[in-house]
Amino acid sequence: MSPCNFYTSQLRALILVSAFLTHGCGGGGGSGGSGDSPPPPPPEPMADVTLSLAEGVTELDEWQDSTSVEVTVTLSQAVNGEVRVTLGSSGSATLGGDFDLSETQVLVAQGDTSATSLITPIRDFEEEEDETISVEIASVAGNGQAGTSNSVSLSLIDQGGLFVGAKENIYARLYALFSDPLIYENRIEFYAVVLNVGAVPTSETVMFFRVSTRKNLRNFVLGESSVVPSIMPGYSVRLPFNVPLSSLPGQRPYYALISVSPAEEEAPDARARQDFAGVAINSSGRAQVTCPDFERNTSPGTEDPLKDAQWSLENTGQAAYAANAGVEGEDLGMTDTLSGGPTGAGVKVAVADTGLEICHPDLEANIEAGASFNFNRAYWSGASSTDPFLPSVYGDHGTSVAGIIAAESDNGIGGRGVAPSALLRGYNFLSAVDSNAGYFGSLGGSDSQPNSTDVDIFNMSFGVFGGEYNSSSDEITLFKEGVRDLRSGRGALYVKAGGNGFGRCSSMQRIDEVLVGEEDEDGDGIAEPIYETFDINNEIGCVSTGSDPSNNLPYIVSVGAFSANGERSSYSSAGSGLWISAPAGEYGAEFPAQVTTDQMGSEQGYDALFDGLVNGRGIRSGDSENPHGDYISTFNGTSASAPNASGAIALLLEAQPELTWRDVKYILARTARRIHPDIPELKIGFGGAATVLRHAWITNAAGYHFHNWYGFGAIAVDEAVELARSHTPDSLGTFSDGRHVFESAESADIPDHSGAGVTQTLNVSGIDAGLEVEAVQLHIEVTHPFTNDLGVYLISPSGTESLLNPPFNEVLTGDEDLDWTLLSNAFYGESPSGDWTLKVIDAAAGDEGTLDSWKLTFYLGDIPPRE
Amino acid sequence: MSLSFKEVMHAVRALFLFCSMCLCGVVQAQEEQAPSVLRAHAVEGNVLMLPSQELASGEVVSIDGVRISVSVEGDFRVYRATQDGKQHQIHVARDDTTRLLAFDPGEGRFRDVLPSLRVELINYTGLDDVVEAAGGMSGKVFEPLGFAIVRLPSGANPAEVARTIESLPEVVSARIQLQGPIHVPM
Repeated sequence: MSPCNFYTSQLRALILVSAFLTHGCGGGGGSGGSGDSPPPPPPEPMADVTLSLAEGVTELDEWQDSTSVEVTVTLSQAVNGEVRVTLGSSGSATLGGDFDLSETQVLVAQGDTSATSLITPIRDFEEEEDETISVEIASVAGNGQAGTSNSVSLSLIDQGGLFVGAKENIYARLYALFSDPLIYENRIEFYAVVLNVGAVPTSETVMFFRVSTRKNLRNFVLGESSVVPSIMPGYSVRLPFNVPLSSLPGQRPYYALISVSPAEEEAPDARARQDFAGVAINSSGRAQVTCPDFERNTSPGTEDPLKDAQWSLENTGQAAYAANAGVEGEDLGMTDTLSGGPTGAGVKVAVADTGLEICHPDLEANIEAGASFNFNRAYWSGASSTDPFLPSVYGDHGTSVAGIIAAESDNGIGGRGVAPSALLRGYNFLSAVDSNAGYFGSLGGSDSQPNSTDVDIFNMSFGVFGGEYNSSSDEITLFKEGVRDLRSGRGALYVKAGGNGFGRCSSMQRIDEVLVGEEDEDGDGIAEPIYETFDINNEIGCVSTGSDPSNNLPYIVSVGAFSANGERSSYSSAGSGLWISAPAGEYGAEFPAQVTTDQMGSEQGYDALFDGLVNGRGIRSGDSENPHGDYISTFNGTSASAPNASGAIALLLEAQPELTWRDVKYILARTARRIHPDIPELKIGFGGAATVLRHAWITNAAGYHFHNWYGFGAIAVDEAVELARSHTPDSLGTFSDGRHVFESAESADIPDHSGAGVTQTLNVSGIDAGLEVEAVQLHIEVTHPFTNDLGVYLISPSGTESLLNPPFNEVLTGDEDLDWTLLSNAFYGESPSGDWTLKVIDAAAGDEGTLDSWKLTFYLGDIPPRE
Repeated sequence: MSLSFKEVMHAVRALFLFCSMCLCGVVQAQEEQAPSVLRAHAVEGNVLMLPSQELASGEVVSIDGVRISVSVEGDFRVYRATQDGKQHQIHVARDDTTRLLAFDPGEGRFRDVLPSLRVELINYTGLDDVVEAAGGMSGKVFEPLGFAIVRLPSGANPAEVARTIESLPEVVSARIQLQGPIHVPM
C-alpha cells in the first residue's frame, strides 16, 4: 500500500501526523496536533477492489487469439473520484509474450463500480508446457484498496511447436509460359519458357507442345514433346517450337498449348503447368498480325447492356454472372460522377501491356490515331508499327485492361470504362522481343517511335515474379524524369498493379495441424481429437508488394485489389508500398470479377478458353449482352485494379488538368475510404517475445489511415473529384526528391528466433520545418543464410510502425543475405525529424545472421494533415 | 578551342580505359587464357560473357576466380560455373541460337544477356555511324534518359561488339545489357 493512503480510517487520522513525519507524504490531512485546530474533515469512503473472471472460465487456448477473456475490476462501493487500478502479472505465461491485456491500467469512473480489461492469448511457435496466466492488482490509486480477491488465474493451453521442420520441406515450382513468338512469312517460331520459381533444383521432366483446330484443345494437328532439363532455382529454360504455316491450312484460328509435368521436387499437390497461345490464319494464309476488320454495329445514345453488371462502377449487390452477389456500395464511389461528372475527356492514357485491339468496337472511338506502337514490327511479318495487335488467340490482356479504363459509354454494346472519354493508346512491350527497349519506350523514355512523352497516365498492369530485386539506375531515371518533365512539368502518373502474390507460396509452407476440439465421430463413445490445418501465410500473405522493385519507388501509384464484398481480393499482395486500392474482384465463378472487353470474336480471346467460363460461370459468347464474344466477366488480378485507378485518375485530370502527379497522389490518399475497417491485428510470439505480423488499420500522426493490404484505402472517386476541383494545383511545396539520406553502419547480431529482434535508431535532423514525409525508402544490408526468416519494421519518431518486409516472404526462400531497397508510404504527412527505429526479427530457428547497415532516404513535401 | 564537359570526360574515360586494358592484360597473363569467355561491362557491374557454343571437350576456363565449362548434353548446352565452391548450372536448348548468357560474379549467378547494347554518345546524331560500326540492325535513342540502345543481329556477341565500338571517338560508353526481372501481366 502507498503511504499516501494512510488516512483511510479514524485510527489512521489520529496517527496522520506521525505518518507524515515518517513518510514525508504531502497533501491532504490535518495541519497539526493542536487542540485548537478545527476537526479533520470526514474521511472519504474507501472501496475494496477485487478481480474476477466470467464464471466457469478456467483456460484459454493459445491458438484462439480472436477470443478474449474479460477480467472485471469491481469496487465494493461507489466512491468519490475515479479509481485507477494497475494490473500486473506473475504466472508462468508472460504479459506481452504469451498474452496481452487490453488495459494494464483500468479506470473506474466516479460513480461506477466496475470496469474491464481483456486477456487475449498470443500464438507462439514454441513446443512447451501449458502455462498459467495470473493477473493481479499491482496498485490502486484513488479511493480504493486491494481487496482479498486481488488476482485471477487461468491456464493457457499450448498448441505445440508450429512450423517445426518447415525448412526440411522446401519445394521446386515450375511455371510454363509462352513467350513472344517470331512470325515469319511462312513459319512461326513459338517459344516456351519453363521457370523454376521454387527454391530447390528440379529434376528432368517433359513438356508437351500441341496445336489444335479447336478451342477446347482436342483434335490436335501438331504435337511435339521436349525434355525439360534440371532447372536450378531462379533459372529458366527456353524451348523453341517451329511451326511451318503450311501445316496450318485454311482461314481459321489455331490453338496452341504447352504443358509441363510437375517435377518430382515440387510440392505433393503440384499439377501440370499449362499456358495457351495460338494464332489466326488469314485469307492470305499468313498469321493475322493486324487488327481484323470485323463487322460490328454500335447504337450511339443507347445504354450499354453490360453496365449493370459492372459492380466496380456501382455495386448494387449484383452477382455479375458469378454465383454470389457483392455488397452494395463496395465500388469506386462514383455515383455522383456517373450522373454528369467528368468522363476523362482529353486525358491520354497509355496501356503498356501485351497489346491492344485498336479496332475493338467498344474501344475504337477512344483510340488516339497513330499513337499506339508495336515493338515487334520487325519480328512479326506484316505487322504495322502503329497497331499493337496481339496475334495470340487466347486473350489479349491489354485489350481487357483498356476496356476497364475507357470503353466507350452509351453506344449500345458491352459495358463502359471508368473514364469513357479518355484517349487510349497501346504499347505492347510485354509481348516485345526486345522487352528492355520496349519498357523504356512505353513509359515516357522515348520521343519518337513511339512518342510516349505526351502521355498523362501510364497504366502498368504488370509485375515480376518477385525476388530481392532493386530497380536499375536507368529505371529510376525513367520514372524520375517522367514525374519531373512530362505533362509540361506536372509529371505523368505511373499507375501500377501491386501484385498477385498473396497466396503464391510455392516453395515452402509453414503449416501445422492444431487441435481445435474433440468429437465422437465414429460413435464408439470415445471422443477423437479434431485438428485443423493452419497456414500462417494465409493470414499474412506469401509474396509482398516490395518483391517487385518498382513498387519501391516513390514515383509509382501502386494499386491493391478488393472484391465485391469489400475485402482484399484473395490474390492481392500486401505491402507498405501500396498507395491505394481499387476494385478487381475474384475469379467470376463463386464471386464477381471484372466485366470488360475481350479480343473480338467467339473464336478468339479469353472467352475462347472454356467459353470464357470459370467452373461453368461467366458471360457466354452468344448471350444477348455478348452476341459476338467481345466481352468477358472473369477478368481479375491487380491488373484489373490498376486500370480502375487509372480511369479514376483520368477523371481527376479532366476535373483539374493542372494537378501535378503529387497533387493526384495526395488527393487519392486524402479522400480514400477506409475499406474493411475491422481487420484484426495478428500478433505472434517468437522465442518468448511477440511481434505484429499483420497490423490493424493505423492512423498515422498526420491523420492518414494506412494498411498494408489497401494502402490509404479504397479510391473514393466522388470525394476525390470534389477535392480535385477545390485543391490549388502544385501547392504541396517543392518535392525533396531523395536528397535527405541518413545511414547507420553499426553491425548488430539478429537474435535467432526472437520476436524482439534487434533494434537500432537513427536520428534524423537538419531538415527544414514544414517538410513532411511523402515516402521513405529503407536500404538494408543483412548477412543471413536464410532470409525468409526475417521481418523488417520501421518505426517513425511519431511511433507509427510499418512492416516493410514480412517474415516468411516466399521470394526469400533459400535466399542468402539482403541488399535491398524497400519503401513505405505509411508515414505520409508525418514529420521526418527525430529518432527512426529499425527492427529486424528472425522468426524461425536454425539460421543466424547480422544486420550490417541501413539507410533511410526521404522524399519530402508540404503535406497537409488529414483532418 | 574549348572542350565540352562531355569531351573532357570522354578523354578521361579513354585514358582510364587504356589503363584498364593494360591492367586487364596483366591479370589475364597470370590466368589461363579464355578467349571465348570475355569480361564485359554491364550497367550493373562487370560480368563474364559466355560463348554461344560449347568449349572444347573437357575444357574448363578459369577467370576472375570462376571456373566455367560449356558442354553438350543431349539437346542442350550445359553451362556450369563454380565460384567459392558452389556450382551453378543452366541449360540452353541447342536449337536456341538466340539465347545469350553471362555469369555475374558479384551476384553469383548466370544472367541472360539481351541482344543489344546500351551506349552513351557525345552526340546522338552520330548514332547511325555507331550502329553501322557495331554491325547493328537499328538504333534507338532515349534522349530523356541519356542513352541509346543498339540492336544487334542474331549471332552477334554483345561483349565483342561493345569492345569494338568503345574505341570510337563519339562513344562515351558501351555496355552489354542484362535481362532484369521478367515483367508479366498481373
